[in-house]
Amino acid sequence: MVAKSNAANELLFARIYDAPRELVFSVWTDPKHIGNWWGPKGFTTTTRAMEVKVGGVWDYVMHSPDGTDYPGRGVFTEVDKPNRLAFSHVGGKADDPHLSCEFLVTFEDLDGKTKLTLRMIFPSVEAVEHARDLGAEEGGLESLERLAHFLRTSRV
Amino acid sequence: MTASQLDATLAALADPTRRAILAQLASGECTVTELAEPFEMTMPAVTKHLKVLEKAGLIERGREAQTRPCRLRAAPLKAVSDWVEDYRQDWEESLDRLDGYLQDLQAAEGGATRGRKKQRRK
Repeated sequence: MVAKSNAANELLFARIYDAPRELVFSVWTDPKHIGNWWGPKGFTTTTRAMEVKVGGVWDYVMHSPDGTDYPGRGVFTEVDKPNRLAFSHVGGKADDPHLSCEFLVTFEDLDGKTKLTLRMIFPSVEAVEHARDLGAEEGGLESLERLAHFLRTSRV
Repeated sequence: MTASQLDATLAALADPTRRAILAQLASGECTVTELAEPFEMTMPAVTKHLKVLEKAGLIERGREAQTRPCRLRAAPLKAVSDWVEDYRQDWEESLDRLDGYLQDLQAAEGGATRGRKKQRRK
């Protein structure tokens, strides 16, 4: 019941897509594709720059339905086409530049279909400190993402 | 729940000992002595954690002068889990959208080669 650090601060998703693995990989790594599905419902995403290699940056802006822009940034930490992709991500529905999450995406070929696994890891310790710094600051919600995940399994 | 309340709740919950205390309280109210026991902690150390939890609204303490038993308050926890659920839901939707997008892409770039395969996610 008590969160065991790492297992608790991550979110895990798995999907099977009826599409070849190269294509699924490319919708994550091609600027012309990623904006078509990334982000919460009703949001659109414009990529300003994307360099898919270790150390390369994905720089984007998410546009909310109410017209607010939220910048986001990913730094690729692993690029193994078409098997694995990892990046350190900052940003989200708020524009706090210090909020981060590690994305790890794996692409597995299932006879022409693709199993995608998405793991989002929230470095909780930083997040806690950051949440304290934020205090009552408006827009602090986003910083709580990481914490919230960290806490997911400690629900009572 | 405001962002700052959520902040306070999450900061309180970030400590593994405090989460363990809450887990303990989930099975019923306890005195400080009872709480200190399983964690091999001193009373002042436990009291310090309890203050954080109380301030965050995660527990309340009884009036009985001697024991002041602690009780869990679930409302802030629910707010946090609701919030997590919203976030998870956002991502479920993105991944659904990705599915539709992949189908559109494939349909656009040559239904001829793939034939008219039945689409839709599993």
